[in-house]
Amino acid sequence: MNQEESSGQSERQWRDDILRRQVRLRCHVIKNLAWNLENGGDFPTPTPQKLCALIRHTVKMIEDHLNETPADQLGNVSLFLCSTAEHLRYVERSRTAHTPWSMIQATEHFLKQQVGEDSHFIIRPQWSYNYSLVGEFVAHYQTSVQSMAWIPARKWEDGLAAIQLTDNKIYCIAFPRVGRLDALLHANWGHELGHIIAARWVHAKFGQIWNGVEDGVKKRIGESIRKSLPASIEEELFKDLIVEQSISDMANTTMEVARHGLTELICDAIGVHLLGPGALAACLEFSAGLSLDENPLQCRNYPPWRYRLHLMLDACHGDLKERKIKVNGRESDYPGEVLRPFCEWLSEGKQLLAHAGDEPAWRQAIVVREAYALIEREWKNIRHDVLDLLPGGAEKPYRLCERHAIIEDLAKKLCDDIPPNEVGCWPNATPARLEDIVNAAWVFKIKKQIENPGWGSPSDYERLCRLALKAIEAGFVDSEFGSRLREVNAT
Amino acid sequence: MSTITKPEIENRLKGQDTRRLTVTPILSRKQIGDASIDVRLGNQFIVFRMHTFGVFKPYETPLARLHTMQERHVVSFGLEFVLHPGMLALASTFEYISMPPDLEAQVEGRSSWARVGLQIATATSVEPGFKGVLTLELSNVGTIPIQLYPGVRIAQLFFREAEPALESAYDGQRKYACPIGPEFSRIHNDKDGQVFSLSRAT
Amino acid sequence: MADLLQSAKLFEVGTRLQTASSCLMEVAGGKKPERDALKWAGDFLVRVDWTSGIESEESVDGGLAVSAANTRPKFYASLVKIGPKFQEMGMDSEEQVYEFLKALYRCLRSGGTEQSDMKSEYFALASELLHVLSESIMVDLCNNGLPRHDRVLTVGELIA
Repeated sequence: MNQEESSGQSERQWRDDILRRQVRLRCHVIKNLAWNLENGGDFPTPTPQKLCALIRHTVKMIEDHLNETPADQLGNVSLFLCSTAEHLRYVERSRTAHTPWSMIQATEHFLKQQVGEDSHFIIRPQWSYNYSLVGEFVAHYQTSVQSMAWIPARKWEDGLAAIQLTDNKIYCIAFPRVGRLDALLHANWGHELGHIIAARWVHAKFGQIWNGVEDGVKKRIGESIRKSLPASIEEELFKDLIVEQSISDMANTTMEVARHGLTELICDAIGVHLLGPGALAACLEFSAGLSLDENPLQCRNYPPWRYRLHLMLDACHGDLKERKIKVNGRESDYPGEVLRPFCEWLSEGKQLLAHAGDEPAWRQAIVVREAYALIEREWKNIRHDVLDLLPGGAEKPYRLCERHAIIEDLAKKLCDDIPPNEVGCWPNATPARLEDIVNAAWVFKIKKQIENPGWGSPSDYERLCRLALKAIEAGFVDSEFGSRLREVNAT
Repeated sequence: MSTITKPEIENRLKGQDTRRLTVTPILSRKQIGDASIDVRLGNQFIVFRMHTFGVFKPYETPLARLHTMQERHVVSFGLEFVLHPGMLALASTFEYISMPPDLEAQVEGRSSWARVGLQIATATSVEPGFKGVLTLELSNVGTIPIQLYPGVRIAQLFFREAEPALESAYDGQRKYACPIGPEFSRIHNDKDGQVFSLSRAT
Repeated sequence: MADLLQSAKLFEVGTRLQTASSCLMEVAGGKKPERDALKWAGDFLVRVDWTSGIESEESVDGGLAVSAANTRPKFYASLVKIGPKFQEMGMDSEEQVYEFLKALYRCLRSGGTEQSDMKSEYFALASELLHVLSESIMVDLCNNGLPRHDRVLTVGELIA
C-alpha cells in the first residue's frame, strides 16, 4: 500500500469511527425522544403515538444491527436517522395543546371514509398558509429498511404487529394555523386527500405511461439540444456523454413536470368530486391574489392556477347551469333563490378566467410543452381511473344540483345563526354531511356578500366559521354515536 | 310565568316561525322529559393554570394575563376528562341552543351527578333570544375524582314563558355571541363592578 | 405532497448501489458475491443507461421507471466525473466506455458469475462508478446535510 492509499484508508477509518459512534448515539437519542413524546403527550387521536412507536421500532432495529452495518453504509444510515428525527416534529406539533380544535375527529372520519379504515392521520397546524400532506410513513420505513440488507426485514415487519401497524398506513396532514377556524377554506381537505389517491395511482401507473412516451420525448429534446450545442463541445473528451447527461436531465425534468402536474390535477379533480363547488370556491378565493399563468418550472412544477381552475370549473359546469329540475316529483327552478348568488358568482369566475388568444408563454419551454402534451393526451382516462379508486366511484360526484334542497335548508339555518348540523328539524332531522355543510357555508357567504355589501366583517366571518365548525363536529357525533344511542334506547 | 311541559316543548321544537325553539342535535328522544330537555356534555374544557397566578383580581387583571390563567382542552368523544375533588373546570353543552324571544330557560344539574359530588353551578338562566352552547361550571365538591365523558347527559333545561316577548332579543352584540365552546369569564367588562373596587377608584 | 415513498425509493437506490459497489470489490478479491445485490444493481442500471441497448418495452416496475429517470442525469454526470479514471485505464473514447458498461451490466445481471469481459482492474473502476452515483443520490436527497434556503416571501407547502 503506498502512502496515498494508506492515508486514504486512515482518513476513511477515522471518519468511520466517528460515524459509528455518532450513529449509535443518534439511535439512543431518537429512541428516547420518541418514547417521551409517545408517553408524555396529550393527543386528539392515537395516531401520533403510533408513529412514535414505528420510529422507535425502526431505530431499535438499526441500533441492534449496528455492528453488522458495513462501514460504507454508515453515512446512509446516519442520513436516514436524521430524516427520522425530523418526523418527530409532526408528532409534537399535533398535541392537543397546539391544536385545541374539535373538528379533528370529524376530519379523520371524512378522510377514512375515502381512503379506508387502515389509513390513520396525524392532523396538525402549520404556520405556512397552506395545506399539506406527508406520507406514507409505514411504506417509507419499510422500503428504507428493506434496502438495508444487513437488517432482517422480516423481523422488522413482524414487529409491526406488536404496534398494530401491519397493513396500516400513517399520513400527516397539515392545515394553516392562521386559518384553523376557517371552515370554508377546509374545503381543501378534498384536495389533500386526493394526494393519497394520486400517489397510489402514480406509483401504480405513471411509470408505464412514461415508459411509453420516453423515447419520443428523448428524441425531440435531443434534437433541440443538438441544434444549440456550443462549438466548444467538440473539444470535450466524452462529449456524447455530456450531451446524454443534458438530454437525460431535461427528460427527467419533463417527467417531473408531468408527474407533479398530473398529481395536482388529480387532487383538484378529487377535491371537486368529493366536495363539489365548495372545493372550487375555496381554490378560486385562494388563488385570487396569485399569478394565474406562471411557468411550472418557476413554481416547483405546479400547474398554472388558470389551468387548474379551468379543469375544476369544467367539472362543476353542470352545477352552474340554470334549468328546471325535479324535486320530489315536482319541477322547480334551479339554482333557486338561495343558491343563485353562489352559482352566478362561480359563473362570473368562469368568464373572467377564460383565456383568449395565443398559446400561453408558460408552454414555450420544450420540457413543459412535452409534459403538458402528455397530460392532455391522457387526462380524460386518468381522471376516470383515479375517481374510480374512490369508494363512490367515478359515477357519483358531489352535485350541488342534486343536493340543492339540503343545501338550501342548511343555508337557511345559517341565516338564523344556527349551525347547519342537521337537515330538517326535530323529530325528523338527519345529520348533515361534511360536504353539505361546507357547500352550505359557501352558499351562505356569497349570498350575504352579494345581498349586503356591508356584510363580511371579521366578526361576521368568524361567526359563520364557528357555526360551520360546530355543525361539522355535531354532525360527526350525531352520525357516529346517534345510531348507537338509538339502538340502546330501543332495548 | 309557567314552566312549559313536554307537549309544548315538542311543539316549539317542531315550529317553523319565530317562536321556534332549537336544541340541536338531540341525539335521543329520551332527552325530552316531562318538563325539561336533558343536555349533554361538550368536549371542550377550560381549566385554570393555577401555577401562573396568586389571586384573581377581576377588575385589575389585564386581558393578556387573563388568557394566561386558562388552558383549553379538547377531549375526543370516547375519551374521558377527570375532575378531581376541589377542581373547577368550565365546560359547555354539546347542544347548540337558540331561544325564541318569548321563552327563557333554567339550567340545572342532574341529581345523579350531584350525588357523586358534581356540581354544575352554572349561570342558571338562559335569556330569551340566546344563541349558542351554554357554558357550564363544573366543580367536584365530593371526595373522589369523577370521570366525565363528552356526550353524557349532564344537565337539564327547564323552559318558562317570558312576558312580554323581547322583539329585539339578543342582537348578537352582547358579551357572548353564538359561542360554540365554553367561554372564560368576562367579569372584567362589568364597569359598575369597578365602582366598588376602591383600589381602582383611587 | 411530500411523497415519502418516492424519497424512500431514492434512498433505496442509493443504498443498494452502494452495496453493489462494495460487492464488486469482494468479487474482485475472489470472494463469493451477494448475487441479489449485484443483480438488482444490474437490472436497475440497464434501465437508467440509454446506451445499454435494453428495450424500453420490457415490463418495468412503474416506480422503478421513475427512479431510473430521476437517477439518469446523475449517472451520466458520474461517468463524466470519473472520466480521468477511464483515461488512466486507457479508455479515452466513448465507445470504449460503452463496452466497459456492457461488460459491467453482464457481470451484474448474472450476479457476478459472468466475469469474462471484466478485466481485473475494471472491478475497482466499476465499484468507484457505483459509489460516486450512490453518493450523488444521497447528497441530493439530503442537500448534503445543509439547510435548503429558498428566497421566498411565503412558503407554500412544507416539504419534509
